[in-house]
Order: sequence, then C-alpha cells, then structure tokens
Amino acid sequence: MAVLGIETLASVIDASIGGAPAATEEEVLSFFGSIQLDKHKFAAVRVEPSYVKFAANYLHDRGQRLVTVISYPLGAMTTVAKVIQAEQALADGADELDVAMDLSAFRSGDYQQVVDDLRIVRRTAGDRVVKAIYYSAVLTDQESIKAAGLILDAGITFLKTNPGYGNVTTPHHIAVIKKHFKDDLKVMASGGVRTYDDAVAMIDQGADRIATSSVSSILDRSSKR
Amino acid sequence: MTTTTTYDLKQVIDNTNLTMGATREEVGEFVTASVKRGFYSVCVFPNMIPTARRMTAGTKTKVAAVVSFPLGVDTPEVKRYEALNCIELGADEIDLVINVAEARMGHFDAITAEVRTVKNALGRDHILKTIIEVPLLTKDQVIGAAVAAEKGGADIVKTSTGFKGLKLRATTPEDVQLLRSILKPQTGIKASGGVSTLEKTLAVLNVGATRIGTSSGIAILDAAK
Repeated sequence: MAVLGIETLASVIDASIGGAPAATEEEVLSFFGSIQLDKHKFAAVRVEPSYVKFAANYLHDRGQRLVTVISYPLGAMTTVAKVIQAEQALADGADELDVAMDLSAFRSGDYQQVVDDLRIVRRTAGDRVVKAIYYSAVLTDQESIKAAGLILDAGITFLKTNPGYGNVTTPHHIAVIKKHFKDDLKVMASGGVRTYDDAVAMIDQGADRIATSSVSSILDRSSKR
Repeated sequence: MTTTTTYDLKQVIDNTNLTMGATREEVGEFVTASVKRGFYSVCVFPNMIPTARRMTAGTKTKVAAVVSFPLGVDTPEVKRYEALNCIELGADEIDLVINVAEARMGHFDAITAEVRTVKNALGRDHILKTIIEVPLLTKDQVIGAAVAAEKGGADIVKTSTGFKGLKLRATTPEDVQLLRSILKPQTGIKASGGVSTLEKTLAVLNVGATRIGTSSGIAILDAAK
C-alpha cells in the first residue's frame, strides 16, 4: 500500500460536508473551518448549488476551487434542467461541475440520450472541469465500462463513481475503469470513502481523486504516518 | 382504527414511482397499471414525463413531476425553469422541494419568494405542491415553512420526499394534524413518505390529508377491497 503525505492526499480530495441534509449557512461555514482551508489545498471543495454564490468568494479567497453538483443525486432531471443548473452554477462562481448521468436512459438502452445529455452539459461548462457520475454501485462491471465509454463519447474525461447516499464505491470499481481505459479517463472514488485506508485503497487502484466528508479524520491519520 | 368517513381512495392517491434508475419500460408498466386502477395521478421524475404522458393519454389520470428533487438545493430561478420544462413536457402538476436549509435558518420569506416564483410561472392551471421535508424540521420550522409556502401560492403543502438516502422518519398523523391546524381550509395537504399501508393512509386522511403520495397505491387499494 502506498503511503501518502498529507499535502499529496489533500490535493486529490474533493472535500464535502456530506450527509448533512439542508445544512445552514452556519453549518457550511463551520464545515469550512473544520477542514483548515488556510492549511490544505484541496482538489476542490463541494457545496450544494444553492450555496455556490454564498461560498464562491470565501473559497476563492482561500485559494480553493469550488465544485457543485448537477441533477444530483438521482440523475433524473431533463437535459434542459441540467443546462440551466450548469449555467446558474457557473454564473454563481463554480469552477467545476459533477453531473449525474441519466441512469434511466442508460438502463433503458437509450445510449444516444445518455451521450447527447452529457455532451450539452460538457459544452455549457466551457473550459471548466466536468465529472460525470455513472453509479458504479448499481452497475455490473460490463455496464460500468459501457457507461464510461458513453461518457467519454460525450467529451467528458473524468468519472465520479457514485453520488453517495448509500451508494458505496469499492476499489474494484476503480480497477475496472482504470484497466479498461488507462489514461483516457480519470476517476474519482465517491461514496463510502471514510477512512485513510479507504482512500489509499482507492488510490492504489488508480483513483485520481477521492470525494469524502471525512476529510479531517483522513488527513489526521495521514499526518501520523 | 374505525373509520367514519368513506374515501374514494384511488382519487386521493398520487401513485408514485421515484425509483433511481428505473427503466422506461418499468415506469411505463407502472403507469399503465396505475391508469387501470384509476388513480388521480402518477408521480414521476422529470425524465419520465414523456413515458408517463404517453401511457396516460386519453385517460383521466394526471401526471405529476418532482422538481429539485430530492434535496431542494437549486436556486429559485433554476426551480422555475425546471418546473416550466416539466409542464412543457406534459406534466399536469408539480411537486417542488423547497429550500429546506432556509426553513432551518428561519428564512421563511425566502421560501415564500421561491414558491411564488414557481407558482407565478405555473399559473392557475397547474397545481403546485411544495414539499417542506417535515422530518428535518422542528415544530416551529414546520409551521414557518408551511405558512410561507401557502403565502407563496402553494396549492398543497406536502410533508416529505421520502428519499431513502436521507433515512427520514415516516410522516405521521400528528404531522398532518399540525399542518391542518395552521393552513387555510382551501390549502391541501399531501401526506407522503412512509404512508405505505391502508391503515396509515386512513389515519392521515382522517386528520385532514387531502392527497396521499405513495409507491404502494395498488396494494392500498387491494387492502381496501
């Protein structure tokens, strides 16, 4: 197992407040305080769409990048809604978008819709980073590879495994993608990554990023190594 | 429980399919079965409106679509556009999740404003239900949010998303009783989230619910035979 220094680890983390439903502004600020933004440079810090405007300056002033979510967490919004969400997020100051694939279209075999839907969001985002959530927790390996290929066809080169909310990512999910797509696709492990060991196990399989709400405990463990 | 009132159960039920990643075929079959049983409406995700529209064509069963579901974390403008898009696609009614964080912060004017933004766009022809997510709120916050939604033009105040990812408690008759005691008589109350049996359905109807949201509509009708 790789041993990762605290700064290396922080640099691949999308930090999230996680399963704190309907967090207040105070709770969001308290979360920002808890992850020591002046000390660590994260890959990105995630906030809900309605908090992008509230958080953008705060995070940018501290040298952090802001990521928000589109059609989240269930992936069942229309293309039109996704584009409007994306436009609003960018106007409010988002640096990066995590957009959910239309899982129903995928499972219905309407692959063209999966691609068209994501391609428009990709275009809307201009030069910003876009990651596509493909729900590895509920797909077979073959389906994951198929979904990842469609996402690549849509022009998105960064995957996010799951939206969380009970959808857990395993190191195997990462290995499946990395073995098949090698350097063509980056992948972020998201959903159930709670400990330093979880994080390292994902990175050992090739994960390019980790999404977690357990930032402090993961970094604390890292600093003790 | 002894009931003194007889209800036309099928006409107060929004038979609901909000299964993550359900295929169009699965939702189509669900809608067809719902039409056959004469439910007031089917409640589906936006990406299933065309399917639901097709399967309800020429029948009395209406199509309801969820907006900003399940977290309610979009900006008011995005909610407005998403709702309008749902109507364009053929939805008759909208089930909108309010910004629950605003309720937790006591910013009830913000809830009135977002509900008004959406209701003004929908007009009188389309019923607007506002989901206030009672399980996440204190009693005072429930009262504030419900009254704020009513003030913004909500036709119906709806108790909960029932979103499994948040592990919410079920809606209770006491929740409905509280809403009935504070809302105007002409404002409807939709009980949803864990209202899964005939007994629970009758219990909330007896204290003032005017609509039921459940994925178990057919089982409830069968139990009432």
